[in-house]
Amino acid sequence: MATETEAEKGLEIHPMDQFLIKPVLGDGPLVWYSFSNTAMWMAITLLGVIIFLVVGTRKKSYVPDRFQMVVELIYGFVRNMVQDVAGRDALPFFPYIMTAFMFVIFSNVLGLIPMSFTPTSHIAVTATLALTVFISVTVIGFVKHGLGFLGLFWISSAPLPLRPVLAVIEVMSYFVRPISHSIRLAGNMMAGHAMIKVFAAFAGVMGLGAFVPIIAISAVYGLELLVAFIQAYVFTILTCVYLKDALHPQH
Amino acid sequence: MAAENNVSEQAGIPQLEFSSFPNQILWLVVFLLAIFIVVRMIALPRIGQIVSQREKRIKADLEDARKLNEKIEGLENSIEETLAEAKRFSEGKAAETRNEILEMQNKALEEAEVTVRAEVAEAEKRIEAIQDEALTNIRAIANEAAVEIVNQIVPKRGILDEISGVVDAKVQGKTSE
Repeated sequence: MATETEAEKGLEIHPMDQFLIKPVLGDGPLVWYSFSNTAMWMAITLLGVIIFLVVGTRKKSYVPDRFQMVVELIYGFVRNMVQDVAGRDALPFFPYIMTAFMFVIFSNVLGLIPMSFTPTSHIAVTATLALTVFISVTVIGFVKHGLGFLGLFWISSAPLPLRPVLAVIEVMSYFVRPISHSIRLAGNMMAGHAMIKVFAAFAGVMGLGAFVPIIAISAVYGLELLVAFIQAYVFTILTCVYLKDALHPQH
Repeated sequence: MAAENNVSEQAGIPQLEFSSFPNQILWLVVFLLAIFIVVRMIALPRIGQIVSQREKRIKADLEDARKLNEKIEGLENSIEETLAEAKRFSEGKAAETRNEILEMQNKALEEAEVTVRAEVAEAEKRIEAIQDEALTNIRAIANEAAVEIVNQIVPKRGILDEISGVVDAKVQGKTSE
């Protein structure tokens, strides 16, 4: 009877606790300006970005060392993505997209450090990012094309009777964009971390059998690393696609 | 049961705790701006500069290489020309020398022929002289022998001159034949 309660007690898993937002300076309740754990990890993200982009390129050498090579690779990767997906006229927006990519990828990867915190696992963060993108591209679309931007919803290649129906669907899907854009990233980040936490809790009560969840954690960790990169890539490429729609709304 | 309630209260889904949103959004804006400043002001201009300078350098190096290549081609052409000229010159020289040698050879041959001819003529003369001498000697010996023989047979000196005349006539007839 006693062991049963112990096991029950041991299986009290709190996989979501890791996502709690707590102040890290002072012990008062969380207020809007508290320096919270999310703020701390965003600061570490900033530090990571500075180390990567600024320290990595400090030598400015013609023949890059390994560090500079990676920085140039990422630079070329994002720049080509902007140019290939959204076109040459999207290049003025490259710094903004690079900023988003850097923030998301560093935040995702740093969040995989045990005991760390992942700001991008919170819908508040990803929704702010996605809404910024959504509002920006909508404004850019109207500024560049005026009411012509509405041509994005009027699919001229479809048969005429179908066009109004398709326009309704297009408008709906346009407004769903920020939701899917933000939930995709936050959901992916949250799910992996929660799963690792659940496996870790199993390992805590399984004694010698713990090697099974430990192997599983290792496997999931590798997968999560992949997901961290892929989701940063997906978030960025979707931003480019939306930007393309704003710059070239004609179907 | 109480513990369960406690847990769910404590954990819930932190992502949906709206009270934490202002805090998150504030810090997101702050650090996103900071990252943007780092990216826009420092990183991108620097990497752009590195990449464009490298491209420039590669272009210049390629141009240099192209120029050097052209120069090498020019040098190769001039080397070929010089070689051809040297070949022509050596061929001319060889032909000239060959002719000279031939001339010298012919000259030497001619000279040798002249000498040989002169020597042959001289030798012929000498042979003739020897023949003449031998002929004269033969006449005398024949005369003597005939006189002796006649003396032995006919011991009369008076016909000696007659014998001599006969012998001479015989010898002369023989040689002239």
